[in-house]
Amino acid sequence: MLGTIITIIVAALFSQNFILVKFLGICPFLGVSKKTSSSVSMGIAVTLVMVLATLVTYPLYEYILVPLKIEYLEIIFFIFIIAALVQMLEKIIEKLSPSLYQTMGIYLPLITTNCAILGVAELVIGSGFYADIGLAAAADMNLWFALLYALFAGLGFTLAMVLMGGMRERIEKLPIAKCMKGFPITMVAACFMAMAFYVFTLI
Amino acid sequence: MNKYVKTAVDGLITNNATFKLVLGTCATLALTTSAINGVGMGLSVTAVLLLSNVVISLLRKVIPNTVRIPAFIVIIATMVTILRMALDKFLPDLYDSMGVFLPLIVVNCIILGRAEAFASKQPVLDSAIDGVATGLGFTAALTIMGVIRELLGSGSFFGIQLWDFKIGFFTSSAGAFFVYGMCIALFTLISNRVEYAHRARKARELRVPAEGPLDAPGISAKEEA
Amino acid sequence: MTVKQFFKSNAFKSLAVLLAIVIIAGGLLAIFNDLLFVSDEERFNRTIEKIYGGSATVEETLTITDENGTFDKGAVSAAYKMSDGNYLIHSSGKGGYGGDVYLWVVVIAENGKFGGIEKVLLDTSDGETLLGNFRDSFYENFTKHNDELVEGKYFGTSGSDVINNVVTGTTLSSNAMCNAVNTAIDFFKSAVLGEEVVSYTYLYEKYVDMTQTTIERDFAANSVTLRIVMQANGIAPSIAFDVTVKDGAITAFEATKPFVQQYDETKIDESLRNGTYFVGKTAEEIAAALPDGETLDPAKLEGLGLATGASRSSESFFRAAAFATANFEAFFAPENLTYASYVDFEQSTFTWNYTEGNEVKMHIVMQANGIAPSIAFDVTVKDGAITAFEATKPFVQQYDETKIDESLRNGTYFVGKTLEEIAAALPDGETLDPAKLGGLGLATGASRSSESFFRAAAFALSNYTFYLTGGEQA
Repeated sequence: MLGTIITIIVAALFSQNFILVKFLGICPFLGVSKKTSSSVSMGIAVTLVMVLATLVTYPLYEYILVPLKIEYLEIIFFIFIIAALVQMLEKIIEKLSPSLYQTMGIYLPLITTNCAILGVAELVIGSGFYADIGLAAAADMNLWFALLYALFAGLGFTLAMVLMGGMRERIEKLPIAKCMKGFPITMVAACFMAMAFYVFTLI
Repeated sequence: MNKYVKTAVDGLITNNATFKLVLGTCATLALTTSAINGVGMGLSVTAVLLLSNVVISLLRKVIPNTVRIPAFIVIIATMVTILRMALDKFLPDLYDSMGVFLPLIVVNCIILGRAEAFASKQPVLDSAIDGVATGLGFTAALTIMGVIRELLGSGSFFGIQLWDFKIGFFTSSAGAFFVYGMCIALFTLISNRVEYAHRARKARELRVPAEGPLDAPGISAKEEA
Repeated sequence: MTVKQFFKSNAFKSLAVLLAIVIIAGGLLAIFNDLLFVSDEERFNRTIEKIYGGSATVEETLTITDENGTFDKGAVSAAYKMSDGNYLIHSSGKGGYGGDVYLWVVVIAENGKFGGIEKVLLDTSDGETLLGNFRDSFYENFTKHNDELVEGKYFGTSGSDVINNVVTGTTLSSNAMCNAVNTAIDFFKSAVLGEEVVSYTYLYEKYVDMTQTTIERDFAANSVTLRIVMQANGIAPSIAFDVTVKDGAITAFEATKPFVQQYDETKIDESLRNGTYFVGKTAEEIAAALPDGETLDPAKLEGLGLATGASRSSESFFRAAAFATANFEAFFAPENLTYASYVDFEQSTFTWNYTEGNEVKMHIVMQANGIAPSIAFDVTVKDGAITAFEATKPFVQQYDETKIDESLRNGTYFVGKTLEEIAAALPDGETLDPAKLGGLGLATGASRSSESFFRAAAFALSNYTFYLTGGEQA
């Protein structure tokens, strides 16, 4: 039990890091990581939506779609739930913290099309997922593990975002070839980060 | 230039989704470990893009502005689900290798982006051409990256083993970022050169008949942008 | 807003359109789902197609039960006899990175015997992200060692004597694959051929790399000398221990230092490293410190400090000690032996070495038999048949070895013989049946000595499995 929890945490944060190993949520990773501060707020927003989305989609799939044999509607249901959650979150943030709302700007609605969120929802219901997080059988999988995974996948996402934000703040000031400016140099930086994270998969 | 040709060239090269706009990056990075995966993902996106563009263009006057995003997403999700079923039925190998990235076509920003920016405003034929062109531009980019990574990473070309020399780095996730970055840099370099040459030619053409001074401020302003 | 206004409002129109789109989309998907539904049968047929390309069909589906399908390091979930005579087995292997690995293994059946592996195909990756590192050549490698497999060897990820199958950086995944293939082989041998499969039934065996571990029994001294190789434990690397257990307590304990960077042996308590902590300890004392067989209970360590960063390595130390002491009885367990009444256990020794391929070397000392003196034999049994048989000449006057048939003396008679043949010649376990000796002449005056020869051979063969497994007599 404790072992499983630790495996889930390590996998979600490092060895199966959403951005650097699984390639999910690359768009915000490249788009919003220009500054550490915006990276943090984007990361927190994504984490929040991930957990909320999993909280709804996992029971929906397990207890409604599967018994009714309409699994094929999963994508439509999932994306709808995520869109609704994002809309809700947007309204709440707008009310509570207009300044935060300003920083997130265009990227908050874009969380809907952030594949990391749909990715978590799809992964935790996937047949092979239980093994991914160190469970012996699919039957052992439950909502709590799914939520834990979603939470730490979001934190892993935040971690990669923040690291990238810090790097890019420095890269911006460097004299580099014109054609390497922007995305290319960011990709090369991401390449080195991915190499560092690759080591976690070897443990 | 014929407007259909312009739409096609725009989607294929000038505004290439992968190398110029850097959209749909997740699939690009994840599914270019081999050329065949790149082609498969590219064509899948093309198919969804064509269908969703056509449907959305047809419904563009019916769908109220307030619910357009959810409506687009439902349409795209339907297309993706159908594609997923069809692939599972007819091309199971490809279906397996695409894994979780197949449902994720739904959230591929290229598709929603084209729906929002093009199909919801243009007639059906234009939207169809735009869909196919953008999709093929994406496919071409993925294929190029897939070939590079497969050649260097596993020493094969479309699954045919060429030599035993392989650099594991290129099939890893780090290699994906590296190859992608280099491809964008190369694309930017070439397109800058081409644009520069194009402008220089335009400038010469302008100069001869007009015999007036070159409209220099305009050009330099554009180049700076 | 009145009801009428609501129906005319923009909000209603938006909702209605959205709802209509969702309903149409749902209906469309239902239709396509019916049209494009892939049944389990079709999925299975695809697998067959992928493996055989249409050249063979399923002839018979074997019944898999918990009993015949579960093995120590994997399980078989489906098995089919194919029309080309070979068997297609769906097996899983434990010990991967994060989870089990599922493989389709085609086992060759050659004239009713095990003939090796024809093909291995990955079924589900089940989240094994590193499986991408395995190219076709890795799977082909399973099919290139059929001669060795027939000899009884198995695949492994380390050690010089197993068939090595490993991709750098993916030891755990390779390990799970090897386990899956080995499980398929074991299943074929046990469920299809009905052969006895060596199963490892020691306590605390879970973390021991049995393919590299050797056990030497000394019956005279009632002691066991073990070289225990532990599997890597999290970040702690694989560590080998040389342990001697006498009368149930550890008398010597020495750890080898693995040559890996992560291993900082200075962090481990010195009394563990030089073995002084373990010397004199019995199974109960070690089991108390390792309550669940896996993790240490700090309260039971008698003041031993577990330095941070070395707790996993320390665990390996205790697991090795637990393995050595808890199985002490099982390493001997002489009560179930057959043909044992004339064996002098005080002087006999038995050496088992798994890596030699199911081989047991025995030094059997037979008690004096009437006027025949005590004779010692060096017998090697492999895969249930004698491969070497040598008698030593006792230094006693009554023993005239020239009277004994030469093929017995130099062992050629026994080499290749199985238990059935020897048992037939020795029907009551004591005296020889001259009719069953295959033309061997029993000179008068040496029949007692010849009896000793046969009794030793019978003992060696019938207890072979016991010495191989150390477990209960089959």
